[in-house]
Amino acid sequence: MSGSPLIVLDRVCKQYGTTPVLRDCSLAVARGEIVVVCGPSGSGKSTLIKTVNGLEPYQSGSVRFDGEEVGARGTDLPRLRARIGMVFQSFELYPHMTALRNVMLAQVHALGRSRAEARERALALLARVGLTERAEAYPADLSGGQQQRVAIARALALDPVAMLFDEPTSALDPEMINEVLDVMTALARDGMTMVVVTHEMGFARKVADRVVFMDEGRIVEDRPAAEFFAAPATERAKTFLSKIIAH
Amino acid sequence: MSYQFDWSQVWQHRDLILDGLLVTIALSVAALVPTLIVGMLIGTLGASTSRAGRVAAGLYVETMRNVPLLIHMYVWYMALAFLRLPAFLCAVLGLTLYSSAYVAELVRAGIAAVPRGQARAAAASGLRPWQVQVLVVYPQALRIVAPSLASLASQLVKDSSLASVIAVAELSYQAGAIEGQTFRTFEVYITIAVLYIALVLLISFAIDHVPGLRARRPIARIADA
Repeated sequence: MSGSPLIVLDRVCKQYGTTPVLRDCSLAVARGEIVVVCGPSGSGKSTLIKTVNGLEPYQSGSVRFDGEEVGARGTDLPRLRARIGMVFQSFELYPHMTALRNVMLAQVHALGRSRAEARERALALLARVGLTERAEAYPADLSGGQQQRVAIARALALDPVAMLFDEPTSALDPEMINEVLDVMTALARDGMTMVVVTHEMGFARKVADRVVFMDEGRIVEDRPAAEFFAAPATERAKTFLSKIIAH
Repeated sequence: MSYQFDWSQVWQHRDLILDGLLVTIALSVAALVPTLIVGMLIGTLGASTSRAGRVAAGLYVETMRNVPLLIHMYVWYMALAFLRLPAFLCAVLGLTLYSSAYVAELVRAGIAAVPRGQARAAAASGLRPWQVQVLVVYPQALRIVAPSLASLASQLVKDSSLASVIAVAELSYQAGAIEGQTFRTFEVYITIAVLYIALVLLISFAIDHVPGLRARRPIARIADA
């Protein structure tokens, strides 16, 4: 089983009305692999990774997670989602709960852990993202970088087999980006399977095994990171890279 | 113009007034509980992604809210006459149907004010749809509309006076009865006005102190990113 890829997308198509959002997207992510998805805005990156945990339905093709068809009728999506951590651009911490309770919530209600167990696990994870002192703080009292680190802890608390990151640093001030990227880098070093939508090419260069470049709903490049950065194969990717690296 | 106030008549009938007060309280509480429950359900339906659900919720709200409460009282009293329901229950029904339409609109607005990303994030963490609602959406939505819900609760207490038209012996009904016997119009109605004020203040106070409902924490969003 460990030989077959954990995430497999096969010719996935999605459209809103008549506007295509994903066109024949195929992608395989092996266990422990780190894939960075980049591309201009509106190219379908976020939509693509959200098909993996069923947040975005698709019209044709297939998405399999650990052998299970995500879009199939009989699939127990909540159970599947509990095995996939997700981190959002806008953090989405629950504003009516402390950081600690944010990290505990799904442990108790989705996994059925006891409160004591969930609390212990939450405190360990908050320590891991460097926020032990802020456990009792409400999201409104945390900086953006701190909120995003809590969000990462919240996702990790479910002991996921893979993590999806949807532009995790795009809503952050420049000086807070690194504190989040450091946590993500550490996670990558620990062998977590990660699919990361980001424009942080420095991060991609450092930790990604592969880079997927999307444009207009298509995967136009899917290559080992080193190759991609050395010489993008397509003109589109070249212009994109030169534009975002220029400043 | 030399009206002589005579409060002794009111004092003499204090047992009737007290009875009326208790019935008003009972009626308000009996109607408030199902009002909140029905309002939450209809409001949730109105905020749902299902078009049929939204239409159904809209129909409920528009029919129930656009009929005067007085008519509700008469209609349910007459319509359910064959069931021989006590007038008290008919009044509870009328008040519930009428007020729950307002609660539904509040709840719908509250849910709409919770950013959609919240429900997405909760769903992504493996919570089931009902858990997403109960654990993540409702607590935020209710905080947003708590002040309006509180004023709706006081409205309901005052509205319960209309039950007097179907002979529910609540405060206003008793006032009418005492007034009819004593002709002490001012004394009687001033007394029950004061009682209504006290009752409503008490309810507002209670709602303010329901743990969690009071919007202690401003719900700030990404703000300081």
